[in-house]
Amino acid sequence: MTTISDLSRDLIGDILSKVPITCVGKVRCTCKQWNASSRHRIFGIAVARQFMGFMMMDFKVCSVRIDLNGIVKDEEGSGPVSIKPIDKLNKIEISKVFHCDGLLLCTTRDNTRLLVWNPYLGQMKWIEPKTAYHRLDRYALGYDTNKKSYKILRFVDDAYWPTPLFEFEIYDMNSNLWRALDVTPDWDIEFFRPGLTVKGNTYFFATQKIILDEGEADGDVDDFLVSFDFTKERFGPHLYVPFHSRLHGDTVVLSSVGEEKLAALYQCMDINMMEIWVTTKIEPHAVSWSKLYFLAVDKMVPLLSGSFFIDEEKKLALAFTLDTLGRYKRAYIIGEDEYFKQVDLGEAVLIPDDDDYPYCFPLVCSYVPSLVQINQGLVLSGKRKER
Amino acid sequence: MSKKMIVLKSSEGVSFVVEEAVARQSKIISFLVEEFPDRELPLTNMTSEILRKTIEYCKKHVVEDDGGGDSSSSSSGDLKEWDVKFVAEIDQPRLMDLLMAANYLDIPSLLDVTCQKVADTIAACNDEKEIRATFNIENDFTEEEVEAIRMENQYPI
Repeated sequence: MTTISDLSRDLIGDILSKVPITCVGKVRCTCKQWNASSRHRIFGIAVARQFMGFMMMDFKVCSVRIDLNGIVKDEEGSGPVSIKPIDKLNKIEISKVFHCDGLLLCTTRDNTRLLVWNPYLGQMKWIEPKTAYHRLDRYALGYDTNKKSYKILRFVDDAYWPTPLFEFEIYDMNSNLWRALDVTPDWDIEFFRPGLTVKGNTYFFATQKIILDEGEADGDVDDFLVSFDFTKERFGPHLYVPFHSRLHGDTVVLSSVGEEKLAALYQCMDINMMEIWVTTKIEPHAVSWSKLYFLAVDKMVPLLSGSFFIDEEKKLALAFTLDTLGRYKRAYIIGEDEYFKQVDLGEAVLIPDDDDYPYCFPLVCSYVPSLVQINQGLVLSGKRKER
Repeated sequence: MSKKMIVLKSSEGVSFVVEEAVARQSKIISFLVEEFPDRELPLTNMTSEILRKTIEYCKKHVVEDDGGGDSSSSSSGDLKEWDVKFVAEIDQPRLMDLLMAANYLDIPSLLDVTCQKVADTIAACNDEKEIRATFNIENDFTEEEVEAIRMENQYPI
């Protein structure tokens, strides 16, 4: 009688690569061979045929798997798109997820805590604020040269919030300390536009800072990327973007392609057009772009605070957003030859007490497993250390 | 013109006559047909039962060339449903045999559905003990080793 133990190492690897990443604990505990195969899996041989990522949807962290081979063939249902809430995190409401090198940085909905999570190793660490976090905080996770240290950037810059807010801080995961950064920004980064980390450094879509005291803004300002270099702990110069967005209404979202490239989606609200650009080079001081032409967008809704990812080989883009009324979560699959498909992801959760930002847009980020250890310190048990 | 048939022979020596287009979904058979035309192809490591199952799958998935371009014999949604039912009906030892056959004959889509079925079964198990019992796997870990992996994969919440 044939049993699973008769299968070759490669076949076991193929099978285990199809098991959700959240089952990795029990898979590794099964036997020595599975433990070893499961470790090999992080080199991503078998996962190349699918997109693997995490997303925040209705304030829950979910794993996302998308079968890229099945995606164009499948005509009805959400077939190749599989979204599963992470059971282990179901007691926590998360409002943002951010990926860097196999680590996920999650922000709690109440803005009191940050969580760094390695889903592959199942390690977690709560990051306490120096004083307090703020709902308008922008966060980014990156690392310095040679990955010696993983760091979190936190900043808030709002001149008009009931009281002006201006804080730039960096947290070193080795020393477990927050330090203030000396920054004089000449740009604005909208708080709903997350940055993206490529090769350890984070890139943000930014616009020229408007100072309303100097007269009314005309709604047309310079736009560019701004990098944050985690080695030098400095923001870089303005980096060219191959499109020009107006301040309101247009969509600009960043995503990553593999671990080395950045993609930018630009959608103009007026003329129903959408472009996706991918970098050919990206460094904190230099960027160059190439355009992708595989979009059929006449059926597209404005993505607004949506998020997306692309697969260059399959020439597919997947965007996650809400419908125009903010009631339903949707995934849109856009491909070559005017391929367009809408996947309904159910009703969106209502945020009754927030007039400023009543919609919870799903937020997707790609994910590549890694063996980066999180120094767990004293917060392992989930009990927060009192200071 | 009649369709070209080829003969596949199982380990028990039973011959199966199949349309060439059906059998060619296996990259190995496709290669062998070109190298050795008009020969019976022996598949000495496949039982008649597994060969029959494999052919059943290939017949369902064959893309018929009717002269007017390629057209699949079934719609993709139906096919998917059929695949799910196809692997659901097979018991575990035969599923392993079929998975190995798909791998040996190099039929990527069949390998994919069989691997997925095994992966789903693993994911449905509550813990490693249930996985071992389900798949008849010997526990070659010591208690300490399992504990060490658990520590690595611990969720503090």
